[in-house]
Amino acid sequence: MMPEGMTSPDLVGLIERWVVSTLGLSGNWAPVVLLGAAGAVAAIMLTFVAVFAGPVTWVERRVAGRLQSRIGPNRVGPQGILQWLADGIKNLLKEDLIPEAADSLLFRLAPYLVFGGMFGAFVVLPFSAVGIAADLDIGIVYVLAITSIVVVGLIMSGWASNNKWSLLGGMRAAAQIVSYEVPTALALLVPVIISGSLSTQGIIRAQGAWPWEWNIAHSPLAFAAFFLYFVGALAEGNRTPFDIPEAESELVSGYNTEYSGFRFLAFAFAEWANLWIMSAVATTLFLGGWHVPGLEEIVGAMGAKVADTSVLYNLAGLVVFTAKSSLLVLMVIQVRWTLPRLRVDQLMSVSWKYLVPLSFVALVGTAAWMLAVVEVPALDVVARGLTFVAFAFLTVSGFLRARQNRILASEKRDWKWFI
Amino acid sequence: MKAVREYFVDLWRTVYSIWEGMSVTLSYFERRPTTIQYPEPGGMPLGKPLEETLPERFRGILEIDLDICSGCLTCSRTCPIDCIAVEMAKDAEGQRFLTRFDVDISKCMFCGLCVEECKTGALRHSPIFAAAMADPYNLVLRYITTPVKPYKQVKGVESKSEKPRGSIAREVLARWDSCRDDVSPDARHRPVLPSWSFGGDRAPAPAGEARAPAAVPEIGKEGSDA
Repeated sequence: MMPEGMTSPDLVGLIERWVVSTLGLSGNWAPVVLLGAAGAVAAIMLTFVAVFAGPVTWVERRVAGRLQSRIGPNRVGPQGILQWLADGIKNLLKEDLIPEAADSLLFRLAPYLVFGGMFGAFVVLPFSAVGIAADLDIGIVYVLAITSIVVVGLIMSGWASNNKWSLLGGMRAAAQIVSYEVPTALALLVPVIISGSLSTQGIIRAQGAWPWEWNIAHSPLAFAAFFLYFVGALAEGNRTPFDIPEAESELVSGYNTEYSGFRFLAFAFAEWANLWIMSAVATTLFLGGWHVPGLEEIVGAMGAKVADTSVLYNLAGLVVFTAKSSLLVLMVIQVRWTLPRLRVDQLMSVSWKYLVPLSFVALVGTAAWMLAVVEVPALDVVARGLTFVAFAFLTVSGFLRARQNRILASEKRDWKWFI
Repeated sequence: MKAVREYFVDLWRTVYSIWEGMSVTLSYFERRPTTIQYPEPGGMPLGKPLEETLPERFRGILEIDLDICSGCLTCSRTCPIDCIAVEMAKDAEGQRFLTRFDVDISKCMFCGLCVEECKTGALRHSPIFAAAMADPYNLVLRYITTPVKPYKQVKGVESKSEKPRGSIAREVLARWDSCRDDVSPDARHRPVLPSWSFGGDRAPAPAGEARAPAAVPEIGKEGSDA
């Protein structure tokens, strides 16, 4: 148990204290209570992952349908919203096949590593002021480290399948993730040095609730760092346009070609859960996390102070955080159905020729900028204002351009999603 | 220097083309999919039955407007596969009546020759294309349930059907609904045979609520009495 006052409260600590105080247990019970609390929080997180990764497959397919001028799954349940359950049940009923020539042990082990590496990141992903499994003070480093286990799982599955497509897919995944780890980590360092903390909650607390108080608006360089991180995260999650490890047209399905049944499901599960991880990390580091805009002003005007453990405050934070992350997830899905897949050489050149130098520039530039701000504090206001205006302009002009594109196709606006 | 310039031009192009591409796909969020969910009621997302959206010259199931059919038999003679059967009969006063107009749509190949030849424009293609039956014999559509007087064509007067396209075929198909899924042997030929009779040389009408004609014709009394 972490000492009081060192870090902000987290779910494991809260449950622990609640159990100890309710049951009046002595200190001898501490390990048991800790294990129980950790198990309970893990169950909550696993439920969240399942409830997110399942329906998001449906969302992805519906969005894909929309962007290709078709409808997508709409048969199972109202508007096909239960499609993911049908898919899951179908996969559970499939034969669990292990190829004869496969390395049986590694073949079985690989999905656990992929899923474990992905799920481990949920320890430090915040949802609200106290809604975090454990607020590690090296949270960001932990995320980078634990998600690296996924690479081991992918290359292991590719090797153990004893299939050339799988092996190629596994090798590509390894090459890609190792390459993109560099710019991603460097881009993540930008909000870390801005906030002066490695803890996810610490970085969120260092930001404000309004968009111009977010890390993304700190300076144009932080703005660039956000996109650098986003591109790197797309590549690390093997999402299009960087999905060469599972390029269907070349490698059948890449490293998971030989998998069936629930083992295959574990890979798909990890892939979609990773959508949440990349979006949640981006929300945490750049987009102000769970801060509710206007809340502190209102509560401050009433002469009160927001308590971290207040249920309403946490619920509001949960809603805000989920909304921001979901928007990012939607954007990732849209990117997938917009951009074509890169070639292997293009992939490497994007990382080493463009992303790595640019992220170095962003990191060093931000550090220099912070020094300049110390000298001239007015610079900070100007930069934040300008970056926020640029961000707003980019978004609004994107929507206007989309409207123009629709009008050019001489089609009427039709928002009706449910057909 | 050129390389440096190209580097930044590449960067700008990447950012700009992604922005343009994203705005194209974004526009699809507010555009209606082109997919037509055909068997859905109302044919969504059209908002109306698919048949009503088909082009004017779509060749669906043949339908005959008996109001303007002169009974010239040209259609049945033109048909290369004999899928149209037309019969005429005279009553006691010598008045000619159209007693049968059957179209076997299981044979019809929708070539449209009969429609081209029809002088009055009574025979035409409806926009209806879906008329699945459990038994192909049921696909013989019988357009006459009551004998009708043939239309007298007047020279110089253009005959024109008043009924909307597809309404006649739809009406006939509706009468077939009760035996659509019936494959029992005695269900065979039932819709094909007229349920009324001039002279008793045909089988009597089966007792069927949908297939029975509304009124037994007054003509040919001596035949039915015999």
